[in-house]
Amino acid sequence: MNRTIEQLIKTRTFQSLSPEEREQIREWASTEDEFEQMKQVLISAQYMAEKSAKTPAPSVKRQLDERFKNKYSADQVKGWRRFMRQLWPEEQPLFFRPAFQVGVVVLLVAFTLPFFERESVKIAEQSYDPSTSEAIEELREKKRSSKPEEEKREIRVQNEQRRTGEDKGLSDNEFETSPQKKSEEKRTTDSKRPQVNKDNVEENISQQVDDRVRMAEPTDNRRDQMGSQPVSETISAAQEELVDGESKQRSMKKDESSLLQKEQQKVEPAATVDLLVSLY
Amino acid sequence: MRLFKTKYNKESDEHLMKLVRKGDQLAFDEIYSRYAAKLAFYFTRKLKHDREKGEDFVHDLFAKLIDRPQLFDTQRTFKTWIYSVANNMCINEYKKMAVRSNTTNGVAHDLPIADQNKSIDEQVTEKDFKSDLEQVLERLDDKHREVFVMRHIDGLSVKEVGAIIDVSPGTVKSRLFYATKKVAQALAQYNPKETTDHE
Repeated sequence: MNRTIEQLIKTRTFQSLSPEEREQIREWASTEDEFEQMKQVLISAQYMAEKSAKTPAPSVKRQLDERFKNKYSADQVKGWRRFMRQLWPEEQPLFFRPAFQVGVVVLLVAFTLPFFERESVKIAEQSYDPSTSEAIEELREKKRSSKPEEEKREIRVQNEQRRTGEDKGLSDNEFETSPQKKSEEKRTTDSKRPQVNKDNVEENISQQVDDRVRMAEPTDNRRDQMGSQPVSETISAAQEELVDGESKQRSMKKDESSLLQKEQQKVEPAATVDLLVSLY
Repeated sequence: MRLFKTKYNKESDEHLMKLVRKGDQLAFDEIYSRYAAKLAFYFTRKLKHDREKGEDFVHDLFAKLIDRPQLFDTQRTFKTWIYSVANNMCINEYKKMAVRSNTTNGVAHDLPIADQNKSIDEQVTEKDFKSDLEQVLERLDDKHREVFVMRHIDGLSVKEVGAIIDVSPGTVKSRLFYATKKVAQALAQYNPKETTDHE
């Protein structure tokens, strides 16, 4: 008797059965009487089973519990072995063993962290150009060292002027014409270099030239004795040097400011790592 | 080891048995609560309604489970296995009883033992469907009775019954059909329709 027939007999009345269902149960109950008899037997048997099934006396369970304790308390492992058994229970499938699960997590972390670090370093490298920082350092060095050199150069020029003035002397015309030449030369150099603070540079140059001329004045007494040509040459050379120095300084400043701007635009590596970690 | 606490009442019998093997007392309790009453009834019925004997057999069966849990093959269904063990225990007991009946002085051991807990009135008025059914079942031959009881009273499936008594499901079905028909015919007097007709 399969479950469908059993359920049909238990739950339905003979009148409510469809012709197909009647055909299905025909072997078991062909008439209404047989159907009712069968229903009575099945329901009563089930009821009898439910009613008769009684849990054995509590003493049975108590004895069994005692037996269970005696049997398994001896098998209980303690200490390190127990801990190991908990970590690696052999009766569990591999994937359910805690040690395996912990190992997988550790491996995942071990493999993913360097990846994140590499990514952050890459980003840092992209944003951070070591050549720029070196260049900045160089510029700073130059800046630091350029001032004393200029001063030294000035002193050297002054000394030379003095020496030449003493040895050869300067003519008035040359002294008069030399500033003009200077200004002409200055104009030519100005046109070559970028037009930045032209007025200031010109003023500086003229001031410096005037100073040197003033410094060269004590040798006027012996102007006749000295040749005028070397003095003018040295002045023009000094002017050129000064102009070059200033233009260099300006370009260095420019470079420095641009590099500093670049540095400010750089993304901090730590911030990038944090952002990546939060995204993941 | 699981991350969450095991819900024993939702675990399968087979998994509970694995836990019992590891010494899980709660798993054993769950197995006991699922089968103790059914097996007690099974033994009581099979052992001529001797309730005490039935309880003893339940104890022995679960003691076996504790002592040698490895006897259960986890590839098998636990229900089928435990009923097979119970069935074998009953067969052995029948053999012992047969030997004893041959050696005793004609005292019938297979007489039903009255339930001492019930009052005399209750016992007298208990001529109901249950006792008649039992009588009818007693009249059936062993193989038909066994199949009927296992299927309709113990609630086992045809397949399970076949596995326990080691016969094919087809044989179980035919035996069941015969037994049910016989019982239904014998208990025709309890048919409500017929009762009203007689009245």
